[in-house]
Amino acid sequence: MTPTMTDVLDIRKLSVEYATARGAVHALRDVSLCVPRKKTVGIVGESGCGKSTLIASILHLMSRNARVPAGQILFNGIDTLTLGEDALRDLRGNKVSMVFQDPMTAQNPVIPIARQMVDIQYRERLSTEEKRKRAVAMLRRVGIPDPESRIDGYPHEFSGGMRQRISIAMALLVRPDLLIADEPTTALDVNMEAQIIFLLRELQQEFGTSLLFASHNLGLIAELCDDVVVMYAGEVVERGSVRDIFHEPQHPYTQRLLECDPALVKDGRRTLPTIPGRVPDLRVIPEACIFEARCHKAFSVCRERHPAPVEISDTQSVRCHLASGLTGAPVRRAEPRPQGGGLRRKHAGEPLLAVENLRVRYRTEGFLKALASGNRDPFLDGVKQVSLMLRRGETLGLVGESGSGKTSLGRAIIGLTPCHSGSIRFDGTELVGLPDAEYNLQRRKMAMMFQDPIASLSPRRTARSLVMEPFEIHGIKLEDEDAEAERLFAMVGLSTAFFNRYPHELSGGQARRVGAARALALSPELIIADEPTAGLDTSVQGEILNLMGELQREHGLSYLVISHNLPAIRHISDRIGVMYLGRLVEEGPVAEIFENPAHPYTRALIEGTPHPDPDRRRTLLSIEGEVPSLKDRPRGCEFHPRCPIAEPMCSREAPQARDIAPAHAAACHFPLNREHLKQRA
Amino acid sequence: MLFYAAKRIGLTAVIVTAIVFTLFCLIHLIPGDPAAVALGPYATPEMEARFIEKMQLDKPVHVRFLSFAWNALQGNLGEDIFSERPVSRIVAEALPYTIALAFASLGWAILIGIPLGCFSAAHPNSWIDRLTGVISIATITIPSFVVSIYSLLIFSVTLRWFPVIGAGEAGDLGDQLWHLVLPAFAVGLGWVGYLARMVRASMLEVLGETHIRSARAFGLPERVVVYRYALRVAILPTVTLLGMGFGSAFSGAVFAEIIFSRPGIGKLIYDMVVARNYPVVQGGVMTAAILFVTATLIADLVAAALDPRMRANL
Amino acid sequence: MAVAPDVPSSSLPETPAARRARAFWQGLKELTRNPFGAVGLVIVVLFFLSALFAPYLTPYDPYALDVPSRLARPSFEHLLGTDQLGRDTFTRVLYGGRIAMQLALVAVTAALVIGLVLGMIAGYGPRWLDSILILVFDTLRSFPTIIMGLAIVAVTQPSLTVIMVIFVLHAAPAFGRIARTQTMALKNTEFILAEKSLGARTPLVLTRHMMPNVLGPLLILAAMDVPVVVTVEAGLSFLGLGIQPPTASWGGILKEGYSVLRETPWLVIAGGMPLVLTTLGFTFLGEALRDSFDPKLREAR
Repeated sequence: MTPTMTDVLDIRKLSVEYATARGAVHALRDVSLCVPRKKTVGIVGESGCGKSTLIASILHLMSRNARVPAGQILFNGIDTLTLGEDALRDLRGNKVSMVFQDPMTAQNPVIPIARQMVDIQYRERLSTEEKRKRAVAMLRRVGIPDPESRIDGYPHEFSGGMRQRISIAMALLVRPDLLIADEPTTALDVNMEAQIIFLLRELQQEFGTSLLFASHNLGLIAELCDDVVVMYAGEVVERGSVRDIFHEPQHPYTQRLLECDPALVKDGRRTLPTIPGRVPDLRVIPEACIFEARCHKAFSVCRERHPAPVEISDTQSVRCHLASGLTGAPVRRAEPRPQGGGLRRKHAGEPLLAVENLRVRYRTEGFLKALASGNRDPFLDGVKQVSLMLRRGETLGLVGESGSGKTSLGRAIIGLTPCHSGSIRFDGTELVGLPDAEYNLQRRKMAMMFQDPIASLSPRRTARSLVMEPFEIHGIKLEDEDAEAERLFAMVGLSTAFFNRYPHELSGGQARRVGAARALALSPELIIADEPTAGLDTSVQGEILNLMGELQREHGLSYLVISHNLPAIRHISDRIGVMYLGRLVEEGPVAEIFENPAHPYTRALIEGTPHPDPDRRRTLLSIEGEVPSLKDRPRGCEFHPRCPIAEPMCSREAPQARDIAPAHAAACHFPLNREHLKQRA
Repeated sequence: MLFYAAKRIGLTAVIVTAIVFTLFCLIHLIPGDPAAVALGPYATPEMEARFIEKMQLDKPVHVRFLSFAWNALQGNLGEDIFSERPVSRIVAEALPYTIALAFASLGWAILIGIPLGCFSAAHPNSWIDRLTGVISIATITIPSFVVSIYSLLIFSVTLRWFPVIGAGEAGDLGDQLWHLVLPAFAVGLGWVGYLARMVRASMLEVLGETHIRSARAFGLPERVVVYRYALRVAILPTVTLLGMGFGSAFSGAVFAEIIFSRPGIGKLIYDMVVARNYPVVQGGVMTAAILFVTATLIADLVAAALDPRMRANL
Repeated sequence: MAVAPDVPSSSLPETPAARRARAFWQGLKELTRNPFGAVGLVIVVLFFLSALFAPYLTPYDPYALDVPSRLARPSFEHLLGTDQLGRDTFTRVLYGGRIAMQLALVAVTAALVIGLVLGMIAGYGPRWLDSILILVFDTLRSFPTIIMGLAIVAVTQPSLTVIMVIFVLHAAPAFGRIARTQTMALKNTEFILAEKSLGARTPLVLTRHMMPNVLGPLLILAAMDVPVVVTVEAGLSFLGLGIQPPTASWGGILKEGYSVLRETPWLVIAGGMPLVLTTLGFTFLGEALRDSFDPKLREAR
């Protein structure tokens, strides 16, 4: 990948440091990459790898404490590091434009879209009228419905997906040579993500713009990019064409990263691979290879010398001693490969939890406001007529996009949200309408693990007091508190050295372990886990899911796992329930759901997950549009406005759940691949 | 927006009722003989009898409150116990002086404070920013009556640049403005610093937001980014704050009016407190509180109208 | 990004008390690194020391009359001169500080406690109670401070207690508002939900998990409120409606000075300066506290 004048962007040996109170953080070191004209280059890496710093440095949009001790950033052959503020401004939003991660804050909240889109064309010698016309045309191009009138709206009037489309429209409106997109879909649901990725791909070809695309999601990189740069801890560890990286990865980090991607993990295993250890502190850079501490192939040289990039083909280069032919005795034995934790068991246990026709309602407007606006029914259904069953020792995975009601359902079961109607039978006791004191007795037998591991721990309590608190709350006297605390900590793989840590002194993974120890303190039978992998890098997701699996085997726990990450929980679930707008639309054994989805929405969710393989790029979107607001549920089948196979009756009649196969039910008039069941209207 | 406005106005009405009620309680429910408290130790029995009759002290409490509230609603705040002039007229005569002072003080504070805050935020850690920081803290913390005394001492007594006392000749606008300068300076000084700090802080916050990063990434000139994109967002909390400023200007006006002998409502209340002329105190305090609440209401509504997110929230 | 290592650096786990002590000293160090914080801290310490040890810092009696040497200019004998009754102004300034200190301690603490309790009730309790408390807070806030003070003094006799009551009526709603907002924000945080999911009862949730997190911002506001209470006292005393003579107070000195302004400026200067210094000191300290506790603001600096 030798740089040529056809490259739009050519970064050479760039280093960036941040001055902090506790010393300089060497955020980027010796980073080189180039973006050829009309090509798409992907930067992939986990959190803390330096993607955002790299992107910010291109146009000098770094925070004030950043310094660039070495390197060049050649844009169309000109080093942007030598440019003054005025010359840089000439590039920004002219030759280079950007799309950022969070669409909800990307536009000015108090200035109309039209004004913002006209303002960014300030360089053009056009009348405001013409600028506005161009803006409208671009909005139409990115799929904003009715752009002529909606352009006069404000950002808050658009959904997240629409706002990201607007961001893309603005970025392309200035006809840049290079478009930079920094995790543009991370804040969006899978289906919206697919739509944005498709849009970017189309527009990139249509406009002939070069695209630099940063993401932690290997599937998206494979789907969108021509060349890929893999970053780890502020270094480029490997770069190459997308096929080089995904088919013949050379760097151990790239290899392990691919292994960890849940979409590539073979089905039927109940454990996931992980990369042990974590990203090092970048204040002190060791002489060694930066990945050495976590590398399963490391040998003695790796500890002594920092490897230089090695070109192994025209397109691929690797920063690894192995590639330069050096070998030696491995310094650590490859840690035991995750063993298949036994095949899926047959579950014949009796039901532990049975939910029937559960309905959870939320008030949307205050009493007075509802009265004033004539809203007779100021409520919406967070959970609507959901029935499900969980047997002892079983794991039920509950999936759906945001607003599907999965979290509300979990909270309703543990009594954090009041139920409007329906029934929850837990271990033979009806929970709906149970007085608080008796509910608390049941709470000893169930526990919840929360989404944000650190925020779910009371910030001014030590880890030990947090873990021991359940005993205190339920008035349980222990003979030997210390022994019990030690036992619980050991159970989740933490040493007693963590006893006096406060939550903010824990890493995400450690905090999750403390949360797990707390949940397990009273030896519950049911654990409700809300997004147990949210916010974790793929390489550590497995750690938590594996721990959950282990604990289940040892203690015979039952899990209700709530997640939007279908591929991740696939591997630990026995059965999957799919929720849409507060309803359970499909439920069945995990293999059935994946191989034979009956509901078109389930299929869309499965297909919404991109495959980390450039040869398996999707060409068609499975569903269009976005999740409607709970406030105006569509009539009939709630999915029909987005359903690719909807027929007239779908808009009239709400389908009832019915058995598709043994233990597999779906609420669809025309279940997929099941000709014998389809009814004609 | 309509609903928000209606709710906010309704809430203000409730608060005004509560204010009236509180002031009613203050004199009618205190232990001891209200007539003695209100009239002071030198009252004659005849004055007391007339007072009891006028204040309906012989009627049950709720009747008194209702008639008090009903009268207040009609603008009838009772009568001065000594001169027997209507309190509303006495208050109305004093009010323009105080309102002029409040507007003048806040006005110059806005003119200086907001640009200063913007500039500081746009050039953080520059020498102007640091200087502004120190000066604003100093001006915020020095009590306005100390500023009044010191400016009287320096500018009027020592340097003789400004008149010492009074509000100027009636009808002579120039003279009146001339007499307004020092009091407005003293009352508004703290607000210069306060506004500068508020604007700076909220500007800095806004300048760190993602949409500003996007605006910069589009290469918009810094002037546009700061004064059009950031200021529009950053000004909103400041607008709300200005309502509070009105109330604080009223407090400051009490001292400025006493020290500079301006016949405003602050001086009126003070004089009447000293004279134990309770109906006038009550009327004055009620007027001040209601004006303050109204000012906060207006500020909130303006802020809401400036924010499309609030505007859409019907 | 701070990444916590897997094993704490010291092999022996520190006790929570030792950690808190260390955190305190670190906080103090952080505070004094900011020059304003250091200046504020010095002034505040001086304020308390001079008030506590006032009788040992001056040879004079604050009430001893010495009419022949009235309105003396500052000299070695009378550091800040004398007033029109010949009393030593420096001594009276020191004793005035004692009044200010009592107010700072008692009135601010009272306002803080009342505001904290009512605010948490409003934030956590039922909606109707919240509405009532908010109405009370807003009504009290709608009287300009000094004007409310005048109204109250009108129906009572001026005294230290009345000043405290005025300040509490003015400040408690502000504390309450913040405590309420903070409580409401905390109410739906994951850690409070987590406590509830374990079956924790409301009193435990409120006292152990909410209160420590609500208190932080209130303590900072308390530091910032000391200048306000001192100013209210000085203001009312200046109007003759606060601390009554012959008790020495800063506002009282200002009042006396104002009446002899044309003869000597020293009294108003002597009465005003400690007031200005104290307010500056506490404001600097409060700001520095806020900066070092609120990381969001710290970044903005």
